[in-house]
Amino acid sequence: MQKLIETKNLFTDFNTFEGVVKALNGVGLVVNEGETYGLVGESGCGKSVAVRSLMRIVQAPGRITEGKVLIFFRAEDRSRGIDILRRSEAYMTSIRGDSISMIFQEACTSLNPVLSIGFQVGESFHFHRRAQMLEETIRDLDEELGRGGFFLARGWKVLSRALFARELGALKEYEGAIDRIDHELYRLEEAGSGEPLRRKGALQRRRDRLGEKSVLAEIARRVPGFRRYRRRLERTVRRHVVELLRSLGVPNPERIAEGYPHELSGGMQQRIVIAIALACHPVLLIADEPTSNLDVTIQAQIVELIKSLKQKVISSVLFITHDLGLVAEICDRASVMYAGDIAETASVRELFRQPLHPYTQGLLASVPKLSQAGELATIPGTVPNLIDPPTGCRFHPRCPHAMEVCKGVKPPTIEHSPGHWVACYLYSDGKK
Amino acid sequence: MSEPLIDIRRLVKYYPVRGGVFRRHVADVKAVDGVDLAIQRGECLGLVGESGCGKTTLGKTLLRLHEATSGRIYYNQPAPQVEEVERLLASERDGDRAAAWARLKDMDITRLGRSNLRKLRQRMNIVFQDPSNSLNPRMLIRDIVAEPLVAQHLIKARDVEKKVLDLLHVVGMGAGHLKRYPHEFSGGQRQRIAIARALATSPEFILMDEPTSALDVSVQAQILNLLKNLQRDFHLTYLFVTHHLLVVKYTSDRIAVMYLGKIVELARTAEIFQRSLHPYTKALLSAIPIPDPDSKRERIILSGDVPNPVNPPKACRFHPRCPFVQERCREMEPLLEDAGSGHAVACHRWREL
Ligand SMILES: Nc1ncnc2c1ncn2[C@@H]1O[C@H](COP(=O)(O)OP(=O)(O)OP(=O)(O)O)[C@@H](O)[C@H]1O
Ligand SMILES: Nc1ncnc2c1ncn2[C@@H]1O[C@H](COP(=O)(O)OP(=O)(O)OP(=O)(O)O)[C@@H](O)[C@H]1O
Ligand code: SF4
Ligand SMILES: [Mg+2]
Ligand SMILES: [Mg+2]
Repeated sequence: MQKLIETKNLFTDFNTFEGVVKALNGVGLVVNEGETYGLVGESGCGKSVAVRSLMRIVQAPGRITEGKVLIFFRAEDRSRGIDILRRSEAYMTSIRGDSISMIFQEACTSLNPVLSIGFQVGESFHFHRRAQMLEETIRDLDEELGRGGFFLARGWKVLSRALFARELGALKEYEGAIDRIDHELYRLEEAGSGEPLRRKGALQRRRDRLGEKSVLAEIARRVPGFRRYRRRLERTVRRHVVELLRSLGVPNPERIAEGYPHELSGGMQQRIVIAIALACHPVLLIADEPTSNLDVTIQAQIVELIKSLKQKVISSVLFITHDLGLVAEICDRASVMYAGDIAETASVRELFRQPLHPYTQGLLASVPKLSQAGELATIPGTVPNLIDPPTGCRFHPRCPHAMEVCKGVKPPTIEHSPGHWVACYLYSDGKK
Repeated sequence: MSEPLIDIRRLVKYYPVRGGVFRRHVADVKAVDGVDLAIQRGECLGLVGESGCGKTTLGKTLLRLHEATSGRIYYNQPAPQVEEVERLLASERDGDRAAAWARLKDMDITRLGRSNLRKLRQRMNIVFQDPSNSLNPRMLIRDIVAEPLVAQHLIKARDVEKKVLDLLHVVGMGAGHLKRYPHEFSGGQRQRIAIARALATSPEFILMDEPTSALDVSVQAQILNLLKNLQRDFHLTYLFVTHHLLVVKYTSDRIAVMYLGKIVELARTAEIFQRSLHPYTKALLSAIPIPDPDSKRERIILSGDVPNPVNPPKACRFHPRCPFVQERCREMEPLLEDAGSGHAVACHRWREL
């Protein structure tokens, strides 16, 4: 199976007043092409930090201190992979936009309350699929003008071709400029804070100015008759937006596109967020608990939606949740995380039929089931504090099988049977 | 069947919506809109439904943390007397109704005077959804648990420590925890403390408002087991509010399903899971994700969203989302009717489906 993205031995720390939160403790995970991969674990075990590290968007006090993130979907190197932690911020921006898309936890807060839904989804088309939008607009225009008589058509055709060429050129140049600035910003960040902060501010301002002075506005100033063309472009984008919303099961998409986020229910807002994430046709969609705050009935709608999109649009999905039921329902493979470690990885069937790690076993036993009778099994104790995590296997204070070795060093991750990985001394020490 | 401990009749709770410059009353959020429900002594009644359907409002109105808009809540009243008062209330004659109103003053939670209410508060208690918000962060655990006892002068100062310790033991905590602050505990432990506090006045009835939804799976199981054991040991009556059907399945004897301010189905737990009658209940059940990759189910996907309780759909409130909707569902409101063996449902088509 072709790997899509892989993390190797990833460590991420947060420097806080109370101490260093060791949020990731050497996380290794692989998402293959075409699969839905689940990441499960209890609150605070590091699921969000893991995927944020993977996209290199860990928030402020957080730092990736060690490890690799390899991507395999770029034509440059599909066999060994490209380590994106060693690439510029500009490179990352292009990856984030065009190949990996993320739906954040508490998605609804990521919508801008003062911009219309149509605008926010449209932005994504403008930004990530500009060339396609331009081409389509030109084609439409061509077609329409072709019907309007020979003379008119020729004049417009020449003009529209010129417009197109110019805009694409400007687009490239603009992107180049942003890339360069980003690259410098990144190097400055790498070099640390202090004196360069002033330059950093200046760079940021320059970047903002560039963003403001959109290419379109620039051309509109120079080329007469451009307004009309520009409206066409908006219309093309809006058509795509409405189509996308409709395919996501948003009722009455034309009207919703005109509306604002606060007019929508939680489930609808969630769909809009998904629409924005999908507008750029990502190779990988990362969904961080996309349904946790929703009702079961709305949740079911969203889950069906992601399933069907998976068949039609996206290649792979990385699905984060703490609901084991959801994992069983939509994932092909899954990893169980505990306190910053990946405890176990396997196909979902194997994971539920034959959980190996004592934590996975405990977790599965403590979920109320449809066929529940008698006491629920529990895992004694509580989730550890990551500032001062237990030594060795981080699960050992709560583990019913803990042995002396478990307190020493972290257990290695071994392939217990093909495709079934586990990090526990019960399996790696020659026992069982 | 045993006597109801709490008998709710036609309970209504509207929240005013104010608008305009003068903050005039422009509309109502019909959070609870005509609920009839009896909670039997010693049972755990599960109350499920979507977010915003009025579960918390119903519970809080029961404890009179909110004032009801109309309706009656009989607490611990013999059934014959309740029936008689209800009959008088429905009577044509003004005299009968006046007599009924006079009697209600002592029977109906929504009309109790202050001193009666205070006595009642010792017998009813509540555990909230989020343990970190419901405990005062500046008080020691000892004082948090003892507060309801001290406030109501139920205990002498020198007995406090021992009593608190007993309560903490009941919820699986100990002397080491007495002199600490809430933030030093994990979510599961805080929820235990909240439960110990709710138990302090030896109540008969506890309202559990989503007591485990802020907790992790492995901790949730600990709390659920604890609640179940407490109920058995202290003969408690619970109203267990949640949107998680598997949790109520584990804890409850009977389940009431609520939709937009109304009860749409009520039955014994096993019955709900085997023979649900209301289309909404069926959809809820089919939407539960099952932690088993081999289970294959027909799933009922509801279209549309939860409607707005300010302006709920006419007739059957579920009709805009119901896959089985017919003409009469849009015209006439279905009443809660008996479907045999204590199973009640409010749907025109339950016999056919
Ligand atoms: N900005 C931050 N500053 C300090 N610590 C942080 C920060 N963000 C996350 N952490 C810590 O990192 C750990 C992992 O957090 P993370 O958000 O990845 O958890 P999670 O698995 O996504 O949990 P949840 O299911 O609650 O979303 C936690 O212990 C958390 O306290
Ligand atoms: N104090 C209030 N003022 C106005 N409206 C309110 C108030 N409290 C609740 N509501 C509204 O009443 C309706 C029912 O709310 P309630 O909190 O009872 O729902 P719930 O079933 O407990 O939902 P959840 O599962 O989200 O807790 C909602 O539409 C809510 O917006
Ligand atoms: S390594 Fe040891 S402590 Fe950790 S899960 Fe395995 S047996 Fe338990
Ligand atoms: Mg998270
Ligand atoms: Mg509530």
